[in-house]
Amino acid sequence: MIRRRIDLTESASAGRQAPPAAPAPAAPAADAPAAAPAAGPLPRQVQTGLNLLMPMKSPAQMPGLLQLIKFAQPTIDQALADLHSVHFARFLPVPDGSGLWVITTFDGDLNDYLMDFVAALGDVFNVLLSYIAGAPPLPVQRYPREFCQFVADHNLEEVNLWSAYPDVTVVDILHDLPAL
Amino acid sequence: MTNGLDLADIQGNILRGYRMGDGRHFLLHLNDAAGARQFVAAVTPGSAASDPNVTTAEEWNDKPAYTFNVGFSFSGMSTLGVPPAVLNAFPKAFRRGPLGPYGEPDGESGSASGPTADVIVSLYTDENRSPQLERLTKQLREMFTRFNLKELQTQDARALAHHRVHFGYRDGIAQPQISGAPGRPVADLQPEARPGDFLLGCGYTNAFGGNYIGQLPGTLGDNATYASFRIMVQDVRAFDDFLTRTADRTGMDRELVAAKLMGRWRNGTPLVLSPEAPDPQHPISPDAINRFDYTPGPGHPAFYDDSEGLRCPLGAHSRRLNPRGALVVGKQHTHRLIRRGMPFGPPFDPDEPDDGHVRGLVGYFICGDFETQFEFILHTWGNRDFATYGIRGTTDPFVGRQRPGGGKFTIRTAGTNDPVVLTDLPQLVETSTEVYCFIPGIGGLRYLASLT
Repeated sequence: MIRRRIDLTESASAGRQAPPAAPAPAAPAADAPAAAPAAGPLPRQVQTGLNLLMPMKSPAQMPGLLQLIKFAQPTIDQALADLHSVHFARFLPVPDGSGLWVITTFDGDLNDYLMDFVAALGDVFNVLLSYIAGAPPLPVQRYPREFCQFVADHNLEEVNLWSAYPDVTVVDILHDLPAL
Repeated sequence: MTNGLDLADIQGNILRGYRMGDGRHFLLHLNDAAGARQFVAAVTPGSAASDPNVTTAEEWNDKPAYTFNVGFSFSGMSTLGVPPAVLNAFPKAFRRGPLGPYGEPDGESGSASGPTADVIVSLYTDENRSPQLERLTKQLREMFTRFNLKELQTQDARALAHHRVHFGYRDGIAQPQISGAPGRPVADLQPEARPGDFLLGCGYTNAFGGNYIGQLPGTLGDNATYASFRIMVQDVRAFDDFLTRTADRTGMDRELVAAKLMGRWRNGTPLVLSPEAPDPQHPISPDAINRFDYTPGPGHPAFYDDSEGLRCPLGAHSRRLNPRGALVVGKQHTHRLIRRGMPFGPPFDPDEPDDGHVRGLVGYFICGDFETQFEFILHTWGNRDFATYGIRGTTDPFVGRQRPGGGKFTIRTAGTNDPVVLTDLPQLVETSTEVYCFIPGIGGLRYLASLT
């Protein structure tokens, strides 16, 4: 299973509060250090890796599928941008054409955000999965749980995901981008 | 049929709030299938039985003397004799039942301790206008006896003046505007919700492009919905003390502290529209009280940009659970809930804070899919802390589980006291009873009554 639960209800650090607009005065500032109890697990990683290997019905169809992906790339890029949760994503063909990797790093738990993925990328996956052996019932918008199970069954989750910034989300980055 | 919605087939508490003054909820155990089916038949609209009958979503010219609705837990569906194949077609969350009180998966902190009900019937009246509650209660209890239903728990409710809840806030302002639903649309700068976000079957489409009916047969699932029925105890004394304590320590007005926690002043005025006072210099019309966003958007490019939470804190209850167009992980405007709640218990009197009364809110959180809507909002938005920036180490001030010793809440003001970090937020709400319900359409009630 790809499901990975992380206890985020307890603070592990003070978090990435936006810098104060002005120096904090004595009284409220005295509260600030107390707001950083080391109660939760350290470090905590909000990012999840997806290494989804989907077997092709026929390797001969791989060139055509890659053409479709190239054609749909602007749509895919916009859908990924709208999700505000995907750090990186790419499609990678297995060299012999036997399968297609979908490799992404995103924030949170796939189960929690599954329907957001379906809403953003459902039509793309409907096309991709028509080339895939053992695909779940389509369209994924109608069978989202079956789609999730398919993803879970085809995800190589044993691969450890290393991150230079384990507790930083896409929204953190987008929020801070103007200041960088 | 109105705008594609068969109102006569939809239970009446889904698409509109009744605005009744009184309520009584009966949590029941079904002792046998035959009696249960007879009970369902008796309350189904069009039956020959006497009051009460289930209220539908049909529009009325004269407000009825009572309204009445019914929902079933998974165990209730099983007792009614719904075939196993159909039972297995219900979504996992409904079959499993409620998570922990703060949406924790796998009951990490235990579920609410209330009884496991098979069916919940909810009766609403206006006792000041037309006393009906005791008459209908008597009739219902006669039916419970006749049809072998055991009353496990009864919870009364009574609206407070000016649609307030015990914490003093005006309630029920922000509800999803559902495309095609009856009633006057009120612009809220959010996309309309789709009927399929809350109703199953009938060819509806939800915000994700699908339909939550799954493999349920239309005879049972069409025009049905799901709801979490909750009895939530509110610690108004702790809230009142917290406001006073925080005002004393920070120099903020205690009403401003209350507004920052909610994102609205207690009269309902949103902080983003009126950051300084509950009654702004230029009054906001009642129609405009929910017309706001936290950032500029496609239809409102010149709207005030509160991305930093200087007016409405990023962790405020109303913002956290409905971030509107603000930047959040995931797609915006997709996770919505209909809330149908009513206070219970006497109003809080600050001069008698230790009156010994239990008070709170009881009602339904209605959704087309527990996992995507109710549980997502409660758990991922309410009790996790990375849905957006600036909320790390915090949970929702009202529906969040606060850490022992007090939860954290951050108030940014762009003033010299910025940010004010509060670390002693008490646990303000505890859920004492929770039941996951399936609320069938009228056709679904007939299906259940006709099971053999």
